[in-house]
Amino acid sequence: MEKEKHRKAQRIYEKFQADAKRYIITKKNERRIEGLFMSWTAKPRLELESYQLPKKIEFLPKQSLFGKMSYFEEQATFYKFFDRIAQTVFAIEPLQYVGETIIFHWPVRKLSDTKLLHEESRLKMAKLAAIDAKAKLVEIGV
Amino acid sequence: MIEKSLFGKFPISVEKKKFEDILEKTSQTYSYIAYPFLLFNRENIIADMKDIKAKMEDIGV
Repeated sequence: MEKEKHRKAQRIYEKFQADAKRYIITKKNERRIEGLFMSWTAKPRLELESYQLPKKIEFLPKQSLFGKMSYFEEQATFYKFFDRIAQTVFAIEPLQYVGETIIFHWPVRKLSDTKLLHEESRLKMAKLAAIDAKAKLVEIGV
Repeated sequence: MIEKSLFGKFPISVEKKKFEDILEKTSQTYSYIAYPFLLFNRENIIADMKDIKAKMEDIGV
């Protein structure tokens, strides 16, 4: 049970890290990521299917989903929401997630400190993170 | 393990599970919006984001 929970946390963490590194599109790295993607699409069809990408590839217009922010601001805000939700989950029950990987590699230092905090403080931190997360969704215009 | 629920609507174990579900769904949705070169259905992404917000409201956030 504990191992399963830890594996689940690990999977979420790894996906989060991968997203953070590879897919955060900023004005700076936009062209580089676009180039990377184009090199993927140039692969033979069979190989492309192994990536489980749709056969028809088109460019998504870089438009904000909710129209309250620019495309880049909206992505960044949703990323922050993601981060705050992760903090909430890990602060609620940190001891199950205090694996070596998470302690040493989680980008938010506060998170690795949560196991050191008094239970009431963690509770407060988790609650504030959840409230802040929701505020970010509202900010986007969801 | 904290026994007290954060928002008082569900026991902490249920509340935590709900937050974990939100985290998983957020991770999935983020992947969709972060692949800007694929034509994912915008309406589905918007619906997913609204669902995430509804899940948070269900918890009482």
